[in-house]
Amino acid sequence: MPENTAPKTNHTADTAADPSRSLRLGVAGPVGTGKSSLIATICRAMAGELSIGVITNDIYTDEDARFLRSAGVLPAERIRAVETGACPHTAIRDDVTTNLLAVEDLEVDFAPLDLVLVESGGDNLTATFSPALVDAQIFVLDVAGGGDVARKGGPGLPGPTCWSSTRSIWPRTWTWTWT
Amino acid sequence: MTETIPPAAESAVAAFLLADSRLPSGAYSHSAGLEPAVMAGLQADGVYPYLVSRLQSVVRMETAAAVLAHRRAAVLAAGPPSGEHDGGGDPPAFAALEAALDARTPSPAQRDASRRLGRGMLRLALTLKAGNCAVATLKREVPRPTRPVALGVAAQALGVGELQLAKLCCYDDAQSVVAAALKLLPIDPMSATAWILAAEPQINAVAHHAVQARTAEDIPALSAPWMEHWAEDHTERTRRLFVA
Amino acid sequence: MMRSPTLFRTGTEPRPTRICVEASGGRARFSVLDQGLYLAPRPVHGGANPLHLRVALIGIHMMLLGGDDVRIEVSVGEGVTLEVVEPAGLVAYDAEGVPSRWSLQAELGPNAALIWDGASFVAAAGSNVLRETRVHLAAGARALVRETLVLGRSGESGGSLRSVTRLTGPAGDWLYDDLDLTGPRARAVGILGGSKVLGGATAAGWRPAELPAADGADGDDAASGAAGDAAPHRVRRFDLAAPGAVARSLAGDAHTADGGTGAVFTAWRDELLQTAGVRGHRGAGQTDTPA
Repeated sequence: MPENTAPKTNHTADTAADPSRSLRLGVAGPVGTGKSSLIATICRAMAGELSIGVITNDIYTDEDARFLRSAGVLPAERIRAVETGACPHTAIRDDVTTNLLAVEDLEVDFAPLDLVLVESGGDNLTATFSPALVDAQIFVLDVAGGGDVARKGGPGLPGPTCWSSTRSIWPRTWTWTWT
Repeated sequence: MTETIPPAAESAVAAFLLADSRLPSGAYSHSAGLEPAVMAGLQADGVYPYLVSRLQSVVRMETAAAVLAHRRAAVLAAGPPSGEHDGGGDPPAFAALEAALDARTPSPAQRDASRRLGRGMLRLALTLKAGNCAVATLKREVPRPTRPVALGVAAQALGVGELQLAKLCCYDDAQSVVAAALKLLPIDPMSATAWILAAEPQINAVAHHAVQARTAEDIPALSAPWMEHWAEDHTERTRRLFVA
Repeated sequence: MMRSPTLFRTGTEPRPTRICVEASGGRARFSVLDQGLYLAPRPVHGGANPLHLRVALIGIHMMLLGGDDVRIEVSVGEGVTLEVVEPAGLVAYDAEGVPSRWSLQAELGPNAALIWDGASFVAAAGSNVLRETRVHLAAGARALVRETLVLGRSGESGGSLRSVTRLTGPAGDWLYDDLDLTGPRARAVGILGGSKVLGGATAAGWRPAELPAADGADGDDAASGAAGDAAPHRVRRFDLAAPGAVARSLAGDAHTADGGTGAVFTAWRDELLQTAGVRGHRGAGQTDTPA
């Protein structure tokens, strides 16, 4: 069961202005590492206590959103898809406008929302979330993908508050936090 | 709450920013209709002609509307809001500009795309110039503006001059086409850059004509039927890189 | 090149064709039925509804030649439905670029309706024609306009055509479309490209119900008309921001474009007449909210 740590610092300027808005948590990592599964697990565990919304990013329409909706962990209308097209990393980092508008719409439609999870479209290790979009982020890796990830590194490794590692050949997941 | 901008000084930096693809306004997922055209069969040799077609039709409409929005914003920023009353010689109110654009855009897909872009642009203007009277008025009167109206207001708020705005409106459309084309078709980026330069006389002509607009009546209604059909077809696709 | 004798006429403009209809005593009648220089309006048997009149426009003078100025002025009184039919298509002949014009100006009173069943309008090579369709609608009024624009007769390229359509409601324009195929826009990709025919049905002041296959909702992703060529395209419906809709088809030949939009026009016409019939019984002066 992945552990989640509380965010160390709140990077987003908005919170000071609007303490009632939700905690925004980003989930990044390469394609196929288990981001959607992690989100589904969080929702399943916490939907009873927290009001949650999810924004998925997809290159093509809403594949990830459909997966999450079919998992049944959250009412379908609380899961919304943002199409990032050719630029999945732009959407979470350089120009977060479309994601931010989607998050704000979700917060308005389901106010009060405690937590919004933003799942990035799978990308490479340079893709991290802008602090304008999320308060904290989880970076998901699949170490069964080989040792290159740990060796090559990238901005995705030291940046996130927490990173989760899955080993696809084993049934268990290994997790540790990075401070 | 009203910000005054020195009338004589125009911000070149703001103009560069608004024309820069790196501007965080959410425009990276739009292709100015290029992807729909490619899906319909447009090839690399059709990209420059397509870019020119846009300058001959849709862009003329949008640029004139952006100029009028800029002018309206200048009036609002200069003094107390003139509110509902549109005196003779006053530029049209934002809602009137929106209605004029809607009448000239029968395609729902194109209207939606423009409003997505407009919303992102308005957000940018609200974040950077929260105290600006015209920006606040636009947010109040037209919460989901079209791209040209939002761009005109944002430009005025940032100190970009009218002619600069008109040129960057054209330039932005041309660059959107070209940037999308590079992602979709086998094109040498250098050739694509040359296309933008080749389009400069057209861009200047459209811009100079647009700044002569005085009322909503002066907004051209030049239509491009195939672009409208392609835009609608695109909404039905699931495998696409660009929203529009 | 065919040159019009009217070109050399000085002083007066060619006489417009005028049609005015109004209701009195629960029946509609023609208050003005003026034959113009080019066209004569001939009443045709109408429908069962006493507030529904039909008229055909018969050509009585050679047209459309360089220098011609064909004007049709229509006024539809409160609560009346006027249906105008063009029995024959019109050709704008080779005029070696000398301009000609065809224009329709229609004023619709409250709860009035105009059905314009236009025939094909051909801009032959060498023509230079401005076509204008201008309709003003008062509160509750509705319009349905059919048109088929053809660039060139068979085997030839088109002339210079500019077709402006402007439908205006009480508060402002509902549709303003300037299809300018002159100069650099002729055959331009994304505008008309290589298409030869544009077939359209336009509803304004009301939004027609969705039709099954005729609205092009067949989910066919391919064959959407390759850029620049004249491949036929299914009829596509565009819902206006204002109450209204356009059904349009772009094709390589008149038959293909016509067939699709013709069926839509017929369905929309039937719907408009059905609701006009209901209104007729309720009498003028009551405003319906468009669907």
